[in-house]
Amino acid sequence: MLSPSRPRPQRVSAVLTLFVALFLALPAHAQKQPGFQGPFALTNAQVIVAPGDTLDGGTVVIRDDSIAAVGPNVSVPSDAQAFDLSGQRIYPGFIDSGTHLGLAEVGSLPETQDFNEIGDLTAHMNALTAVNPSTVHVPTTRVHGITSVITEPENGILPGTAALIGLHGYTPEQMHLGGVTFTKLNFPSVGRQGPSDDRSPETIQKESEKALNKLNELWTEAERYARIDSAVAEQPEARRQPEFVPAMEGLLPVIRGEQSLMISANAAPDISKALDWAEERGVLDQLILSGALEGWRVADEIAAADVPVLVGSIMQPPSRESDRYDKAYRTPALLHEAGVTVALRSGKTENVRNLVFHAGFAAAHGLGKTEALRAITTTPAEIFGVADQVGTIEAGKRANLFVANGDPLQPATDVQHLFIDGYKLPLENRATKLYDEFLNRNPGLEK
Amino acid sequence: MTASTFRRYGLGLLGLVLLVLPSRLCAQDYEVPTVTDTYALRNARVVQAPGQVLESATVVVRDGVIEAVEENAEVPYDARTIEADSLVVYAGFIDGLSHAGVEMPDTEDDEDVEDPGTPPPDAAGIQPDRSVRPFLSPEESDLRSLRKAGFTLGHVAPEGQMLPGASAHVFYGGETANDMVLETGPTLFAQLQTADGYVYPATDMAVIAKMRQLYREAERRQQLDAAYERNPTGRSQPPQDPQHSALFPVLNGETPLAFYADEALSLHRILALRQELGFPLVLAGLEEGHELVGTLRQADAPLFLTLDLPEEPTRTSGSDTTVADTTGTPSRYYSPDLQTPSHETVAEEEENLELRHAMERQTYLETAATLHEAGLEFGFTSREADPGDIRDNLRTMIDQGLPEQTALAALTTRPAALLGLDNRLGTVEEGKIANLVVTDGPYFGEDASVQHVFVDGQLYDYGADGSDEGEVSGDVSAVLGTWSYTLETPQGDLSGEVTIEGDESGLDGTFVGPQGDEQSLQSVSFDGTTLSFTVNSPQGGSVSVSVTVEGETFDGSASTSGGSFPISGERTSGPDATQR
Amino acid sequence: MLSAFPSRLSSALGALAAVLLVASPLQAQDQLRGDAPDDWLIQDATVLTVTNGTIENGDILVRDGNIAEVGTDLSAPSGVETYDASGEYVMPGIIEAHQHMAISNVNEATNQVTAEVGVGDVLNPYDIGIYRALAGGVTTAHVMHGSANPIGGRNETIKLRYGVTNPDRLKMDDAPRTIKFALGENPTGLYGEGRNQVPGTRMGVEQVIRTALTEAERYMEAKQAHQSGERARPPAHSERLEVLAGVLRGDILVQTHGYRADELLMLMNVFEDFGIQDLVFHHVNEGFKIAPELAAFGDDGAGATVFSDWWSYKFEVYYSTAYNAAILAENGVNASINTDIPGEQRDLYLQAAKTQRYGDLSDTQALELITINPARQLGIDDRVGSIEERKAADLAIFSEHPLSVYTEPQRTYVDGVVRFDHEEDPDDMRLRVDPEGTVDLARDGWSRHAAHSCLKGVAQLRATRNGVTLENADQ
Repeated sequence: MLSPSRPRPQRVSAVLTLFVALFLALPAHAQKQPGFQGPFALTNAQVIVAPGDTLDGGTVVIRDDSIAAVGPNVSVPSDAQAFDLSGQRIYPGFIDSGTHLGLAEVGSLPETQDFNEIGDLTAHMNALTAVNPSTVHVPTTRVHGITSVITEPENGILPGTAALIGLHGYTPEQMHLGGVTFTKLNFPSVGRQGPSDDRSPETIQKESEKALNKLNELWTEAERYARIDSAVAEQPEARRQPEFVPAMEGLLPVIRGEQSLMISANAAPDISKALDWAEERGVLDQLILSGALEGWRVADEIAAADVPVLVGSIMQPPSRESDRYDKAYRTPALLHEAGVTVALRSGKTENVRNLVFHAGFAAAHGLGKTEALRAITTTPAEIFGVADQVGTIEAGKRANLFVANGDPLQPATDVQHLFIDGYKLPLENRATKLYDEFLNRNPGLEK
Repeated sequence: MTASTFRRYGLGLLGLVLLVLPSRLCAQDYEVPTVTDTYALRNARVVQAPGQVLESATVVVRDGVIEAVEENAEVPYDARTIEADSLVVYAGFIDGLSHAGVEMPDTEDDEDVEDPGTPPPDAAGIQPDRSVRPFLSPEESDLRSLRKAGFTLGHVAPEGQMLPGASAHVFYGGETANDMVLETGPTLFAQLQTADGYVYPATDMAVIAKMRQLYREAERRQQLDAAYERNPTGRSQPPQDPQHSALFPVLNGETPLAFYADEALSLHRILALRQELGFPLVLAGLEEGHELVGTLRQADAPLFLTLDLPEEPTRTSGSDTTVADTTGTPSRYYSPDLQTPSHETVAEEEENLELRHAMERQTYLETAATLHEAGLEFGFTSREADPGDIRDNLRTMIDQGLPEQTALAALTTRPAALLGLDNRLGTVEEGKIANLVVTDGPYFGEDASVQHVFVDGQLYDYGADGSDEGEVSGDVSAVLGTWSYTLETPQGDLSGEVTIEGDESGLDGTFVGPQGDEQSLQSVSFDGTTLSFTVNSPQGGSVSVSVTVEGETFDGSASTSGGSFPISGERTSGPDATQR
Repeated sequence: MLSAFPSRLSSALGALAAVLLVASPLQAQDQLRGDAPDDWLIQDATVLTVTNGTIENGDILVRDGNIAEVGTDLSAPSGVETYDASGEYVMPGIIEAHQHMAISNVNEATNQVTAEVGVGDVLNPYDIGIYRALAGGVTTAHVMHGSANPIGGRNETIKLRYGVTNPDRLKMDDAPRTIKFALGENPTGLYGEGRNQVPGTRMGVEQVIRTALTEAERYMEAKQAHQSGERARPPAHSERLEVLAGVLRGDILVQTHGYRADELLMLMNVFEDFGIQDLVFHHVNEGFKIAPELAAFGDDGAGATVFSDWWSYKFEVYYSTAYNAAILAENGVNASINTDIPGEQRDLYLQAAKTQRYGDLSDTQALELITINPARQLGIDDRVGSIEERKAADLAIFSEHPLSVYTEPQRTYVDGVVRFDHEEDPDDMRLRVDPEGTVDLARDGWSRHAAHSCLKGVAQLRATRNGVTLENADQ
């Protein structure tokens, strides 16, 4: 119903897979290994080079980890494994701008959760350290065309650094994409923390002021730490190292302007305060906002500050009971209309795969399809400074892309092939394996 | 000091100087014995019942009973006569439900219930076999403040959870607990109130289920009892426990369950349960009664409306919230259709939402009028009200459309009838119990104050000279604690300390002069911002202090008959200092 | 919009009084749509009947809140309002078989067996969640007791008549009574791990249930013995056993929270022993493993209402597949999809659509999961769940096909009354606000609704700012 090329029933597609497998005559080792590199040539496809830039009947050549060529008249290299993708579309791999992917396995088991370190000042923690490349969630995420995500620590004022990871690799370092690392700051909130939070407005006000004062105190101290550290570096022989404070050490790259600072804030007053704070502290040009569920209320302030926003999760009720039912869905559009740069984050762990539906909802609720696609491709690539590597299908970029039989934001669409860093990855995961085993269980009722 | 300064400050200074001198006299604190229980209020305006007024009559009270109410009633030889030419006599007010005068024993919180899923009855809050009677104490301060507001008798229930026990009709006065009781057991008190801690019933739905269970099992046991009574021989004794037995009069329609509930949802739930089980019902609280007028009309139960009203929210100056003009003539009105398509209309939205809160508040202020206009005849309950606010709240209800006579009826004749006491109470008539409120003007007037209250023939005096109870409303924590003050006099600053103690039902405190002498404060009043009190000098004369409290400081004046001086102060310790 | 609030404060208050005093009790209790029409002609829509195919350019005539006629080129009788739905899609109002909105309490988590309590006693018609569900095309919800106890309380099937303030008016008349059972980690965690009480294991869960049902059998026997004169006295009255007796008689449908295949099999065995035929499993993340057994249970099979794709939030859902619904449906199990959590119920159409990615279900199969199938599970398929004549006019109108991610709900009708209107409704749809309050301070979006989660009181202990454990607290 949704697209002319809606998926065929399972049995048919199973036969098709077999057919394709026979004809392509894959190398034997590919059957056993989860991924292998090409060269590959994807032909006759509609290539979404970038959102809003579509190439019909194009060919994409993948060699090693990169896109070797893209165009209407690109010839297929003789050593390349070719795929005739008539009626199919090729998209740049999607990017989720905020997850805990790799940092948690089973939600209710604290021993499997690695995104909450103890304490408020843990700026020296690095999410990348704890990424489990073998988490069962990664292959589940990939099958929706998601090829890289920001994975981030959570608790405390300064929980540590987040990292951009590609979703194929056997060590965290192999997954680390473009070396993207930035520090996260949970801005002191004036918002209620939930329905059980019945603090009086006065108390909330006082507590948030206190928290902000404390943050300022901390930041001043961190700046001092950085100054002393730099001074010592100039004359290491003559000067004494500052006392080692790990969290201050962790903040050095931000204080020195070498690293982005991601501030997580959702309530409108928090966002305003965070912008003011960043300006006062001279970190506005390093600033990325995350969350921003009420960002639409202060959209003009965010736009004026020229700060990009990682919005989400938008798939939740609006923040106030008096808000329109669809305010969260509509937030990306309202920010975009005000001139704010918007990327999307799912905020999920095991269900990062739903990023595509988040984008679909954002599209339907005012953002439009092209902008919604940008919010999960080119825009995050630009925000994280890796636009030269990912986000579009252009020669020289990493071969992070996938093939779908329709609009990948539509539920009925299936992803057919997926490449990360030139590796063609199987679209298998726990969900599909259990499906294959149990759709027609054998034995059935009677053994 | 020039002559003119002396003229301006002389007398005042004298008072102040006297005040700050160390006292050489001890406070004389003893009670003067009364010699008669017979009283005559001469030539008073007597409101016998709403709309039934004697312009000038004498009310004679003897031995706790109104002996006469007549134009020229003879004043008995042994009467203490009160010249009441300028006074108004009303029937003493009746409180439809309260815990006034009740002092429940402290329960031990830490006592672990062995099986929280099947707790013993007291841990579950099931104590219908209990009576409020043993918990009455004439010393309770809420009695004092309610009496001062004109309440002389109440339908008083024990505190607790779902079934706290039997109530009593209790005089708001008396020397002993025995004096206080008119009759016990008119109702069993009930609430949709969960057990303390993590104990069954821990939710309203379980409270409701438990009510059903108790009711149905009591029905069974009553039948078994009856059968056993007819023929006990050869039968085993029926099961019995005090909790189920206490419900038998409810099953028989003799004793109502008196529920307290303010929220519309709770009211609906209680009425649904009553529909199902069919018990006789008294319903008190009803703060959100305006939400279900029709249902209440069908319920046909005695109703007692709370005397509490919502207050305007206080906003901190630093708050980000837009403050809409929600006064009587706002600059704009609530728009129910508003959509806020983008950040450009956020300010409009906030103002609109503020107006919605104001409109909702208005609905609550009109609840009494709404119930009245729907033909519901209700009394009042003081349970959730601050006694110091009651008269103001009644005035507000009247301003919002409750007829004054109805308000008076709801304080007197109606509760008397609803509680089955109209043969003894509710009007100023010969033969009724001598519960009277005597004011120096119409009770609902701004300027009037209660001068005397008779409870069961006992006089409580609030005349001008004896007026040592101030009016208290608002959040008293704003004034509680110790304040250092500075009094600016032409002779230089004088400083010392004032300590304010007490709670919503009344404040008192001490005034420490510059030389360390202490005086107790008289007539301490507080309305949320203005604090006033009087300090009597041991050498005679008094100083009235009135200050505006703002956060941790106050500013105002201290005056004597001769003039006034600025006084300012700062809180040095208070509830905040100890709590935070 | 049809509002009880005229634009000026003074007249609003007058109108309020007028409504309360003059209008009928029903109107008095409907703050939003008291005088809204329930006669409509919806014209030129793509009508997705679910049970009888799709009608292009279809019309639906609604009379007195019921579907009077479905066809093409119908004309509006006089007095019947028309709605031009050209280019739009009409589907049956969505039915959610597992929700916790619109109730004041969720769990009576003090006792392993609390059959006597019921959320129907504590409905909260003021919950804004009802409106938000309507804004997602939902018209009926099965609001449930939580999953703390092996045998929890009774649930309630409600119609989303947002605007009424009398809780009774939310109830769906004649809907069968249902009760919540719960297996696995929630009861064993709460009682065993948390309080050192039985059940600490899945063995214990079985025996708690068997014991309670046996007691109910004995109770019924004792009552019968008394009635027939064999026993002098009736047994002590038990609200709890009365309800369980209703379960044994088949009057009360059992709705069981469970995940693992073994525990689902266990309960089916227990029910076979006690002769209980009606059984719907909820969540059922491992239902796919025993789809043939579920289909073969009792006369009509055991139903399964599942999440579209939630997993990995606790150990008993680690071995899950998003293809669960498809495997169940393809194996003949009556399956439905639910969202469970207040706030999540607005996108059930998307959750259903996911079965086209996970298992290639057809449009009709996917729509069945949120309409006629849950209706069957709740025993209300004679009244709702499809667009058929004589059924209630519970209809959801969408801008595009409801299984498209780009669709937006336009209007939702409950009993023929428009209770959600995308165009006309204002932002603030609360039925009341705090009279002492001021404009809400923003709440942090993550942990909202935590208090309503299925394991309320238990789950809060695990609350984190991230909310991962919270938002999944019930499952």
